[in-house]
Parts: sequence; C-alpha cells; structure tokens
Amino acid sequence: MINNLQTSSFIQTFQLLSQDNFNQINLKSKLLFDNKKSNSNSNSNSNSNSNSNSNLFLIPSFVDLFFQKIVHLLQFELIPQLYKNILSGKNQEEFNNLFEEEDFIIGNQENIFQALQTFSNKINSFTRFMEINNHIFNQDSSAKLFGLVHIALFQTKQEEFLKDLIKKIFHFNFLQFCSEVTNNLTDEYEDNEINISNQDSKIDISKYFKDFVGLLFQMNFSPFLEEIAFESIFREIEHIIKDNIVGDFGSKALPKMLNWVSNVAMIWFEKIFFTFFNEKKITINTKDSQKNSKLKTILFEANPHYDFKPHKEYFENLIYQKIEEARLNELFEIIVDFPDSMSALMDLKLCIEKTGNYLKVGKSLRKSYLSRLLHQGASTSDIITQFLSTIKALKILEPSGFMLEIVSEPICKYLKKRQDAISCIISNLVDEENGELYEELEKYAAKPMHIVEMQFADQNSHRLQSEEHQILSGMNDETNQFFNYDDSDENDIYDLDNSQAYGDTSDEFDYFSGQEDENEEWNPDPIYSSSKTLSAVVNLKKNIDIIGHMINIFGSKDPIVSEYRLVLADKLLANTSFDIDKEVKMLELLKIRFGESSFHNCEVMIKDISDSKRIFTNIQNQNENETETKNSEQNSNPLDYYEGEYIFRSHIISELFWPNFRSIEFQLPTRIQNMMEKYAKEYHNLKKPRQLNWKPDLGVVELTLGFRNSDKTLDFAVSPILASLIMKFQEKEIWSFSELKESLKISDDKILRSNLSFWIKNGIINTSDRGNSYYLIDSISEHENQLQNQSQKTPSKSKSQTNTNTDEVANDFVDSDDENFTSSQIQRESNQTEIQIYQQFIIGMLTNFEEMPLERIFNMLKMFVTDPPFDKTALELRDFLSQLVRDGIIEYSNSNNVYKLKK
Amino acid sequence: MEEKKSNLIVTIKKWHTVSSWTWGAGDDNCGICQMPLDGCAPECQFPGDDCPIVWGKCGHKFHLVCINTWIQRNINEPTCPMCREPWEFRDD
Repeated sequence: MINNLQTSSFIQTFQLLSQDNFNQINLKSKLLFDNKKSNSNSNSNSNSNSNSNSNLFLIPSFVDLFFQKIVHLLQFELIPQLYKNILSGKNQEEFNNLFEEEDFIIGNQENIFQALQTFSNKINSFTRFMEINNHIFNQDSSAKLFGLVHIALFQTKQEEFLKDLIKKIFHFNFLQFCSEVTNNLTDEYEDNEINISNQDSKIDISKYFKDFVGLLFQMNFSPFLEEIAFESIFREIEHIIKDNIVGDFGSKALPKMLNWVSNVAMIWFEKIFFTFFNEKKITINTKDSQKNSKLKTILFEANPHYDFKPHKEYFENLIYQKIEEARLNELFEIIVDFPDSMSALMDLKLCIEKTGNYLKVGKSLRKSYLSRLLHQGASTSDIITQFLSTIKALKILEPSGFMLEIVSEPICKYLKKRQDAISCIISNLVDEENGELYEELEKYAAKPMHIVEMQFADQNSHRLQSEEHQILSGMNDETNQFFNYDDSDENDIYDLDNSQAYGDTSDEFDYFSGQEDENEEWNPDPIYSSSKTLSAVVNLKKNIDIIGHMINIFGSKDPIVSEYRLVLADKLLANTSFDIDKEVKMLELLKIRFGESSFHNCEVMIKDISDSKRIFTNIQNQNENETETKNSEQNSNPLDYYEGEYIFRSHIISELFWPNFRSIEFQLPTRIQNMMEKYAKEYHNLKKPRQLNWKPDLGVVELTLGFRNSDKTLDFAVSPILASLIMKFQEKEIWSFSELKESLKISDDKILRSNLSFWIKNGIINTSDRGNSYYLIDSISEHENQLQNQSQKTPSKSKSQTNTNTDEVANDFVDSDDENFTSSQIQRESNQTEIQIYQQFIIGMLTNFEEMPLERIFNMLKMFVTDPPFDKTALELRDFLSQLVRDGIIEYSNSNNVYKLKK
Repeated sequence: MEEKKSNLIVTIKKWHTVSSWTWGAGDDNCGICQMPLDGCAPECQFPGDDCPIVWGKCGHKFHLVCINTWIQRNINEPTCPMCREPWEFRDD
C-alpha cells in the first residue's frame, strides 16, 4: 500500500515536473523527502527492518521507473521544448541561415541561453530530487542522469544542429572577447606590446556565457566543450593568418600571434574553464559530500592545478605550424619582395627553427622554382634577380647554406643552359647604380678577405636580433658590426690571420682557396643535411658569397672574366671622351674578387685607352702649333675642328689583347680619309717604329644634321658607316641603291640595306621604287611626319603582310636595328668565330659519313677535337649547324633528322 | 646635275674611330719568349711602350727584355739566338 502510494506520489511529482510547476514540485518533493526521512529514521531508530526491507526491495524498480520516466520526459517534452525555445518560431533551416549573421546571434543569445537555462533548471530539479532522496539513489545515479541527458540530447536528429549551435556560440563569444581585449588595449596602450595580466578583472566573458558553459559542464559536456573551445581558437588562428598575415610581408606575424595566444586566446580559455572549476570547487567544498559526480572527479584528476601550460604550448606549436605553412606558400613572393619582406622571412626562420622542417621548406621552394621560375617565359635577368634574392634570403633563413644548395642547384643548372645568363650577370656586375652584384663587389672589396670568410662561417653563432639588424641596416656596415660582436678576445687572432691570408691569396684568389684555412672556424654540417634523399644533390659548399654562387653556375670564373672583357671592350669603344675612371674602378673591384691575373687583358685594354688619349692630345697640340707657326691655310681645314677640338681621334688598341672585331669594308668620305692618314703619320712620328692599322668601321661618329630650309638640327651618334652613308646625301639628294653601293664600296647588300633602314627609321631619308631608290626628305617637318607614320605602322606590320613596297623593305630591316653603335657587334662576332673553328671538322666528318644526326656530330667533336677542346653545348652546335644550313654549306633532312653535305 | 646643292648639311662633331698599332714586324712571335711581338713578354705587364721590340742586324727581332736577358748570359760575344750570328742592334 505504502509503496503504491509512494509510487503514485512520485508519478505525481513527474507530472508536476512536466507542468513546470517548480514551487509545487519543490514543496512536494520536500514533503515526500521528509516523509521518507522520518520513515527511515524512525525505522532505524526502532531497529525494525520490515519497513526498510520493503523499501529496499522496492527501490530498484522505483529507480528504474524514475529513469524511464526521465528518458520519456526528455525525449518527448524537454528536448523538443528546448529546441522550440531556441528556434523561437523559426524553422531550423531558416535559423541556420540567420545564425551566420552576427547581429542575429547578439539578438538571440539571450533567448538561447534562456532556453538552455530552462532546460537545465529542469535537469537540476531532478538532481535536487535525487540528492534529497539520497537513500534511494546511489552515487552513480546522478552520473547516470547526466549520461541520459547527454545521450538524449545527442541522439536526436538535431544533434548536429545543437553541436553547431554550441560551437557558434563559443566562437561568437570568443570573437567578442577578442575584440573587447583589443579595444581595451588600443585605448590604453599605444604600442602593440600586449600585457593584460593586470586587466584580467576588466575584461570578462559575459555572464550569460559563463552560465551557459556552466550548464554544459553540468550536462557532462566537458570533453566536447574543450574540443569546441580549441576549435574556436583554432578557427580564429586560421582566420587571422588568412586575413592579416598572408600577403603582408612587412610586419612580423609570429610574435604578434604568440602574444595573441598568451594574452587573448589563453585568457579566454582559462576564464571559461578556470572560473568553472573554481565554482565547482566551491560547491564541492560546501557540500562536503562524497557523492560528487564522477564528472567532477575526472576533471579534477586530469587538471589538479588548473595547469593550462599544455594547452598554451599546443596553441603555440599550432601557430608555428600555421605560420610556417602560410609563409612557405608565399615564400616565392617573399623572396621576390626581398629585402622589403624581411619581417615575413624572420617569421619563417623562427618557425623552421622550431619545427625543423628545413628539408621540407627547401624542397617546396625548389619545386615552386621549377614550376614558376625556370621556364621559357621567364627572362634570364628576372631569374638572376630572383636567384640573387634567393641567395640572400636563404642565407638568412638558414646560414649553413643547406637549403640554398637544394634550391640553387636547379637554378644553376637552368641558367647554364641560358645563353644570355652570363651577359645578364655581367651587366648586373658592372651596373654601378642598381647592380646587386656590383654592391657585392664593393662590399667584398671593403673588407679584408679573411673576415669575409669568417663572417659566413660564424653566422650560426650570431644572435638572431643582431643578425637581423645587421641585414636590415643595409649590410654595408657588416664589417663594423662584426667587430662589435666579439671585440675584445679575438681581435688579435684576426690580425694574425689577416697578414697570413694576405700573403697566401695576394695574387690568385679563387673562391675555393678559402677552405684551406677554415679549420679553426669549422662547423659541422647541420644535422638535417644528412638526409638521404638529397645527399646526392646537395654538396654543402660553405662560405661562398653571392658572387661565388654566380661563379658556381658556370663551374669556373673564366666565363665571367671573358664575358667581362667583351663588355669592357664595348664600353671603352663606345666612349668618345677617353673617360676611363669608371672602368678603372670597376676593374679594381673585380681584381679584388676574382684575382688579378685573370684581368691582364682588361688592364691592357684600359691602358690602351689612356694612351690613346695622350696621343690624341699630343697630335692635337702639334696641329695647333703647326697652324700657328706655319699659318699655312692648306694644311688646316677649319672643318677639321669642332668647338676648338680636333674632330678626328682614335682608340689605338693593342689588338692581341682585345676581343675579335668584325670588319666591314667600305669607303670613308675623302675628308675623313685625309684626316686619318694625317693621324697615322703623326702617330708614326711619335711612336716610331710603330704604325697604325685602321678599323674604319668601328667607332662612333657624333654628328649634327641640318637643313638649308630650316633652323632645326638633329643630333646623332652613329657608326662610321652610317655617318659615311648620310654624308653621301650631302652630295646629292637622290641615290639609287647600286649607286650607293658603288660609291661606298660596300659589298654586302644586306649591310647597306640595314644601314639605310636606320636613316629611314629616323626619318631622314625615304625610299621609293621597291627599295631601289633613296631620297632625302624635303624638310624637318617631313621628318617629323615620317617618324609619326612609322610609329603608327609598326604595330600593324605583323598583321598584314600585303603592305606597300616601302613597308616590305622596311620589314627586312626590322631585325637589324642595333646598328647605332658598332661595338655591340663585337661579342656576337667573336662567339661565332669561336665555333667556326669546328666547321672544318664537321665538313670532314660529313664527307666521310655522308649523313649524321646532331648527337653523333656532337659526340664526335667532343671525342676528337682537343685543341682547342670542344666546349660547346649541343644547343650551340645546333645553332651553328643551322647557320651552315642557311649558308648553303650543309643540308638538314627533316625526315630522319640528319645533316649532310650539300651537293 | 650637281648644280642644285643638297638640302642636307652634315656637321661632324667627333669622328672617333678605332685603330690598332703594330711594330710593323708582321705576325711573328718573339723567338725567345714565343709570345707575339705585338704582344708583350711574360716579364712585362703592358705591350707597346713598356715592351718594345728590337731588330738585330741579322734581321731577327725580339722583345727588348727577352734579348737583353739573352745577352746578359754571354755578354762578351752576344749572338742572335736564332741564327747564331754575332748580335748587333740595328740602328734605325
């Protein structure tokens, strides 16, 4: 009876529960509880077991019933109610969409919390009920209750929705917290150095949120919560990196992010979990009961001191990884921007130091170079510029040069194939204004040799800060910096070594020679360099400076030296004022870097120019003296002077020391020829028994074109052939092609046409009659018109091949527009003569074998031609062979790809 | 035909040409150092004034430094290293 009654009263309680009648239920359960308590008390007091026995017998079925009822309640009333409250009238999809918007969350946060609050209150009332009836419910019961709630919540169809909801609330709250922190900071601190430890009290997570977390904790959500909190922070990290860090190379992201983790993310994390733990601790203490829920004990066992250090470390590692990933993806661009991207580079450096992913970064960069840089579309100078930046940047990332070797290997290989690589390097080397290599030369020359080496070897030991400063501060004061690092102890050692080093390397200094005395500065190869995968490729060459890397491309310094000779020849001959100061300086710098002996030729060349100047001054003075003393009109032509200077002068060169020149035969104007003869005669008088051999096609003529019917004049600096050509039009205005050819004694039609095209392009002469007749323009105004016409014509040329005759002729000349300065011909000419040596061998081979494919010719030449050794690439040979085909000496058969002699 | 003067006036400001010097001794090499006569002996840094050539009366020509070294070795009866004739400088 009693049991029945008790049961029915419980059921009543449940009904009341579901009716949301808290006061009543509390009252009721209290009554019930008191009843029971007094019952049991009286029972125990009276030592009568009958009642308690019957109770004990009934309890399990009652507990089962209780839980059954609870499950039912949860499933059909409480949880649907919860969702209904959360959704507040909207359907789920609608709600989901709305939830993406922040405003909606702010507006609905309260609502959602309230819904959860209501839900949790009900659950709480169950727990209270269980606590009150602790004689019925054992220790596990409350855990079972939460388990049931948990299962019920997540076994519904809306599980994902709920998880999502919680995630979003967490994330939203985190964002709110972040922005509050940053706002607070910007208010109080000007700089970014965050230190909010004393602000803990000011910024707090919202009350709602705290309660919300508390609720979730109660409902046995704890592992899930931690996961969600992690995810929120994780998401935010990714978000910040994507929005603020990717693409911004100008500021250091890493310290900012690490600061953010310890001062924003971790504070939030701790606030959520620490406050909660604290509260729990208090409740535990006050309750002072052994019936703590399992949940609590688990939590406290796991985190007895609320130690969030592992969490922090986890996030920090995450930051290193993520930033490394981000920076690695844009490393190519970072290097393009170098040195403006120094901050980004330092980020990556710190990250790699932490993660040790040297090989990974190196390989990835190597890969991106192969796909993005080393292809037909990239110009050689761009590749070299990027290579230079790469060397500098990777030296900073990883001073031992391991990564650089990985990356530079394919670049060097590729550049070696590019024929213009060497000239690009040289032009960078001699560019006093923007040349990076020139800077390197100057830097190199500015410090004693031994120290140069020490610096590269010693870089590992430099503290990051100072190293970075050193690089940022323009690198020019590296030497000073260097002495600042270790000023006292080791200076005397340096002095000793310096004197030695000078003695050893005074004459021939190769970049390898530095390795001889590196013993004392020996550092082991970095441990990561022993990786098997790349050991074959990577052969660590330490202590190589940037120019050393350039030398590496070609295997020796010789190509660089001989290319420089060509460039120097160009420069010297193009200079009409005998000015050699720049070239002298340049040569001195090169001599310091590459060793003096390599530049003997160049020194002779420069001396030739200064000698030429002396001779010119001599001859000019003599002429003036003659004119004054003799006063004979016939000897001095007033036309021979321009503004008081004798117009004719010559670079008198020691031919054996200069590159080979092309030579084009033509007839100089008589006036010039006279001056030339006179010059030669006077030279012979001065320097007996030496004589002059003229190279009339080389040199520069500065002239002014004027028109009788106009005051305007036009200035030009042209080759002697061009000058002679235009002077012909002084004699008469209309010339036929053959007349010109005859008069100038130019045998090659092509040369004459290309020279004519120069003046046509410049709008001085015009052509008619299918290019057979050339005539002077009428006036300056026509000259301007013609120039305009040409600029309009130029783009359309390629489109329509059915032009007028004039255009056709002009088309022929398009590819030969570099006739302005003769000396630029030097280089190409000399390259060709070099390979022409092999012409006889090739013809001989083809006579014997009749037909041969390219590879066979190439191999034969390699095998049998030893003096001079055949050092051309297959590509160069192919070019030469097709030149022979064009010249009609040999034939190429497309069908079986062989070359044979033309019959 | 030449009555009408051309409209064009060309004023030459500088005619800067290129020439190479030679001793006028052909493409021969110095019989002593085997370097070209127009080049310079190994002892010299620069060709030309710094490394003149000399003719002997026998018609053979050498770098001055080279023949001097040769003569030093047999100062009393210098001979031409090529033809073994007594060495005498040719007067120009």
